[in-house]
Amino acid sequence: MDEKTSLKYQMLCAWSGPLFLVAFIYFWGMMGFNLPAPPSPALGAGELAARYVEHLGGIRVGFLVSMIVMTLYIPWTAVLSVQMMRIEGRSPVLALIQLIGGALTVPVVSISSVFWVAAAYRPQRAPEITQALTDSGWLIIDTLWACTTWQMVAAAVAGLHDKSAKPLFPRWLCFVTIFCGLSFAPATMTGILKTGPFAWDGVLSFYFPYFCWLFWFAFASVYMILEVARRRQALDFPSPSSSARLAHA
Amino acid sequence: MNALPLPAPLSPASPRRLPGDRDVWIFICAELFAFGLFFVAYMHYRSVSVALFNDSQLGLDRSLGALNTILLLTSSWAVVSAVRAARLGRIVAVPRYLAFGIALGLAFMVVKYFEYGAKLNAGITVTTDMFYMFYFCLTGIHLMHVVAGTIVLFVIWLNARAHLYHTGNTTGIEAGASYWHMVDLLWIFLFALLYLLR
Amino acid sequence: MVRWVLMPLQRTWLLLVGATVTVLWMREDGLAGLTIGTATLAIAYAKARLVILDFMELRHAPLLWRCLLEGWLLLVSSLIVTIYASSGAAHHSL
Repeated sequence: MDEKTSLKYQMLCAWSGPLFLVAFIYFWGMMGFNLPAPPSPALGAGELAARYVEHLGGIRVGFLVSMIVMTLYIPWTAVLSVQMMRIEGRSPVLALIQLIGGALTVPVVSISSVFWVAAAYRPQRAPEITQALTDSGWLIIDTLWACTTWQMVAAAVAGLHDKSAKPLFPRWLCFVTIFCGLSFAPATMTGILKTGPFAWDGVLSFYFPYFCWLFWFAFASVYMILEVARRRQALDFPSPSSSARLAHA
Repeated sequence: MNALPLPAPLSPASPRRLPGDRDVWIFICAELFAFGLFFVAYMHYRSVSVALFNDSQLGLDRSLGALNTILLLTSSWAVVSAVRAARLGRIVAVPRYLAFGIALGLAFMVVKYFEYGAKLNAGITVTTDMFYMFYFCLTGIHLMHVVAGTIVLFVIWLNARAHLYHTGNTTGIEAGASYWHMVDLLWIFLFALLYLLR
Repeated sequence: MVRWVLMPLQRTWLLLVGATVTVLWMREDGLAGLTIGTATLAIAYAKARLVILDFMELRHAPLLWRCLLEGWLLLVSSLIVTIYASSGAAHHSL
């Protein structure tokens, strides 16, 4: 495969980022009815079951589609890995950490959605079972945050070592990335608490960390797209400065 | 930019400059934002259960809280003194001040260990009530920052022993110091909100 | 020795520790109520400001950064005081 074709695929992969962002918010958040607020863990089993019955169609379609949408994380992680490998050179351990972290994020988010689909599968069953399935979904997505953190921190660290004339990520974004990756940590408390800001519907375990995750994802996508675009342009219009840039990268 | 070594001690006479690293300051601002959320969340939840919060608060050891506050304040003093020493070229003093600061940070952790231990022995945990949930979670998250900050100080201490920081090169020690001062700053609020405010 | 103690950094430390002891005393003395609470918060604000200006050394930093952090301090402190003052119910003594 020639460089030009490869860059075309890399560009497609980078654009899977914005696509994921929009589709995830729409299907997982809005249709799945996790926005404006997830179901409270303090809800009684009966109330929770009623919530499924009331929004059955949206919940089913929302999460079924979001499971497919979540796989857009795969090409996105792949292109980021390639970009990080250019920075790292011969032994790209950070790129591999990022790759593994990004890959594992897919089942963490997808499988939790499977549990919610399962919860919605037989709306007339005993509500305690529905509640247990709902609980499981939330605990999966909220307690396994560390995989995504590894992806983010690895990307940030590699970004900080990018010495090219136009680095992949600006330096400030690398530090913000580390912060965002660590902002998930309080979500561990969702495994214990049912009320308050650290419960899975609370501001410190849901709104803030998820916002930080998608904020990072959005900014990273923009810079990743720009980086692929730069390399494509350098290929089309080779110049002394652009080949110098390529040599650094 | 960030990489240029800027000499001259900060004073009214010298031109204004941001100590340390601008991008680390952005990180610090993000942390401050997050903790601001924590504080406001605490105050909000307290406002709907004032009696409960006041009651449970009596179970906290205010003296230990004050001790921890003084430990961090003194630690911050030591760290900024280390920075000043580096700027003035007093290279030998730098790691000494830092070591003192680190020791105080470790002392903070020890106090916390005993404080948490006493609570757990009395059967008080994160699920006891809303106040104690906040107590454990907020001081716990803060404690992780104390640990992280101490590790940063340790790395800086190693560099200081190798005489890395001097008049023309203080960016690294300033950046690490600024993070540590943030940790101190946050505890000032936690002490007031959790231990004192009724 | 006295000169060293009165140097700016040491002075700041003395103020900070003094303020800490003061609020602890205020609490130990069994004082309670809205006034004491507000005073406690005001002292916390003053302590935090000293840390920002003298320990973080933002007193002589570019105004953007000084304003950013002092602004954060003011905003958070104001929110805390506002919620505290409007927290109805038990502003009684111990």
